[in-house]
Amino acid sequence: MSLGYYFLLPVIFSFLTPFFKKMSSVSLRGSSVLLNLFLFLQTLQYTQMSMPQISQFSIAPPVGIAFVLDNFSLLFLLIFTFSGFIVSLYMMWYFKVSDSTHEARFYVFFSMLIAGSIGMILSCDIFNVYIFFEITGISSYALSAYNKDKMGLEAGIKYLIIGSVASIFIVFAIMLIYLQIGTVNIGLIAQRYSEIDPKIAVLIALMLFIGFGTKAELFPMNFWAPDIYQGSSSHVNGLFSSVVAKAYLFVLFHLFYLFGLNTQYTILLMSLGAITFLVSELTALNQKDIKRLFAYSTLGQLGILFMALASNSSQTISGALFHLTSHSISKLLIFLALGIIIHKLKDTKISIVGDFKSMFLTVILVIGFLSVLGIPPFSGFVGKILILKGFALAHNYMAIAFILIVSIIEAVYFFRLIAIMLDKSRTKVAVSIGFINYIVLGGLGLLIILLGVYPSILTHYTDLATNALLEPQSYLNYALGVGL
Amino acid sequence: MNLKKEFRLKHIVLSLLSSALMLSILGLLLHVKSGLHKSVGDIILTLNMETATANAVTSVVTFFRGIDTLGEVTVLFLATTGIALMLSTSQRTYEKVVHQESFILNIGSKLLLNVIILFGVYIIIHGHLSPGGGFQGGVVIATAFLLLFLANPNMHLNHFILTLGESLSGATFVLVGLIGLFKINILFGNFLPNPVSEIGELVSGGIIPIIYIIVGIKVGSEMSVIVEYFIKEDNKKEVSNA
Amino acid sequence: MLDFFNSNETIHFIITVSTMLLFTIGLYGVFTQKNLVKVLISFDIMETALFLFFIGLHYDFGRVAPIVDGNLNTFTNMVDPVPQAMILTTIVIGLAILALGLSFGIEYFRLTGTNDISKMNELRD
Repeated sequence: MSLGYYFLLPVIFSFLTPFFKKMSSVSLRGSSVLLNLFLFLQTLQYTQMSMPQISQFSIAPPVGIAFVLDNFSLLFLLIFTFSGFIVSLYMMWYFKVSDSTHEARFYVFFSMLIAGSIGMILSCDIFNVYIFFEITGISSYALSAYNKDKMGLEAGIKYLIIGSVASIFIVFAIMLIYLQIGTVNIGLIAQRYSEIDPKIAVLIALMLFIGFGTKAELFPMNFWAPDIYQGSSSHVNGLFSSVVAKAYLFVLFHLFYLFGLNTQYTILLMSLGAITFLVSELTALNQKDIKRLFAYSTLGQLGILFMALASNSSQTISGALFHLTSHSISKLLIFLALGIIIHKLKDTKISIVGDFKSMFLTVILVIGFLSVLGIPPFSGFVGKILILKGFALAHNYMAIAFILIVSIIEAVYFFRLIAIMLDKSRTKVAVSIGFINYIVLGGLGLLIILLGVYPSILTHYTDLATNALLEPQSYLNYALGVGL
Repeated sequence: MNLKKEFRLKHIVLSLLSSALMLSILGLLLHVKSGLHKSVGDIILTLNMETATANAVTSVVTFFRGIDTLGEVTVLFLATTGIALMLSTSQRTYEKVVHQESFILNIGSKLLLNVIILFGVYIIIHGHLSPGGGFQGGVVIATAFLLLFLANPNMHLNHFILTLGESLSGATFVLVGLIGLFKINILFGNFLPNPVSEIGELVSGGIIPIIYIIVGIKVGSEMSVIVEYFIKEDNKKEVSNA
Repeated sequence: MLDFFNSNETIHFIITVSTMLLFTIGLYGVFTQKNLVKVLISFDIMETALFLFFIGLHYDFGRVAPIVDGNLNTFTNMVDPVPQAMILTTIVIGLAILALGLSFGIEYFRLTGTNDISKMNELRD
């Protein structure tokens, strides 16, 4: 199967959605589930094949564009297709609207969000990456404003303005790259990057960093994120934190390592990641809205990932990739479960975690919280231990102490939430959960426990991914079209 | 009407800061174009004779970087869906405002309509022979409908045909790519015959004019839909439920 | 005297300075304007400045447009076609985002009666 199907099939599905309104809404949701399931199964098949794989468009690179899959992007592809499948399965229960045109538009934006993120990680041409960046961007602006209430529209407007600033910086950087080097193929740029004028190289690196870093929620450009999370629906928040932010993180670090910038800017990125972690966890302590609280929690975990991915040692990067996968699954679980509660209680203050009566949801939420925090036997614990082990091997004891101290701050608000949830003296409202949601949420919870108890299933892939990131010669060969 | 603009300190500081930023970048940018490397455009120009297209920009847009054009068409489709999401009226109550039409403007615009659409179609079809192409021609066709709306704001466009045109042309674009995959094993490859001797003729270049025609239909219908949604906003007056 | 104006360096200098001036005006507008429509128009000014910068710097004096017609038979001594294709795509994307932003503004105005972005502070700590 060609890699182009990851983008072409969702595009055909989106273009044909206006015709679905003649049929029932079950057929629309069902076909979305089938499409995402097909893409996920194809990705599982790719894990058995030899890497890298290439699929060219129109003409061979470096003159043309191609999609290249190596072990590093395979890990992210697994996360994205899995998240797409889970959310489309969850949405089979969620809506009960009678307006099928409105619902069809949701599926257009949802499919294009996943397809755009996948295109960003597969493409080997930096202008093509910008196009997919815009596809993902427009889908997320529309998904933020989907409910058309005052908060949603405000979130959409703010996100659009911030996203436009980021895209202007990226366009400027691409223009400077083309003026200096004469090509936009990532392989050729990586080969010739050391030959450009050093002052302009600094300017290009700064612009790429501001552009992708704004959308990847790095300090000091992440002030927009909690507002956006508060204004969108909860399942959209789950998509944002497990798919969209990780895609921009991928592009940032992929270019960082390929262009050879990892020798100069390591300290800067690590300290910015550390500041992100500290500031987000401190601000999360006195939040009163639960979606904002989890937005700050996502920012904090992304700060840890920045710290770990920017360090040059392979153990830390392998741990960071494990933690990234576990964080995607856990945050998706938390936001999807919160979606059911918010839909029933119609309020978003923190105390709603104590106002529902469902043993299943309580267990699921506790699993999610403890996994993000990093308590054994859940997968978040394995991720954090691997990162700390990597820092210990690199003799970076300050980073270990920093992460442990700020994790205590994180533990404060998570245990406060659990205490509210288990408080028996509050009046509780029963929540109805659809049959499919039992399967979806239960499956995610079991996956978290499985990864926590048998981490070797995933560490095999994260080690392969780390090797592919730090030794990118085979990827560069495919991007340059050698041997095609 | 008071036209005096108040000068706030924040504005002055921000303008000085942005000027300083730009001046510092300016020093770098004056030497940015260097002849260090041969750019990929020179390689494409030497390869262009094989695609038998007279306009090199068209062959770059539709063939060498065809997936960028598919992405851009998708972006326009997403924007149209977003505007339809925001401004569609099935969920709110409003009262229609009927505007006055002008008789002369009505007749004159209907006379010009055919000429403008013909011009747009000419630009689309000759995209590979002269400057122009799908995007430019599509916008010209949408301008024709804009002229009709300006003359008669109570007009309605047939949404069914426009949506049909949009969806089917988008699906055809992807199908052309998939046919290339099945026939010659390259996605979006040029599978129709394109002999070099036909350069400059209307039927030349293989799939390149076909892609541009598809893009022209899509852009034309999408821009018409956007224009209609924005102009119809003027025809609504909110009914306040007392 | 005219040879001074006909050289590559002069043209590139004039283009760089003027488009960066336009970019500064747009940047100032994005940071200080309060009306949503004015902010979006300032974005449009910034993007247009970048397009003019890019296309302008790729013009070399003495080259022709990359189209083969009756007089020209081969693809030599032509301007680079790749930046033109890239800018064509980026113009359409900028248009799409502008249209989407304006529709958000229209709907927000219908709900609250204001278009002032300094008054949009529903979402805060």
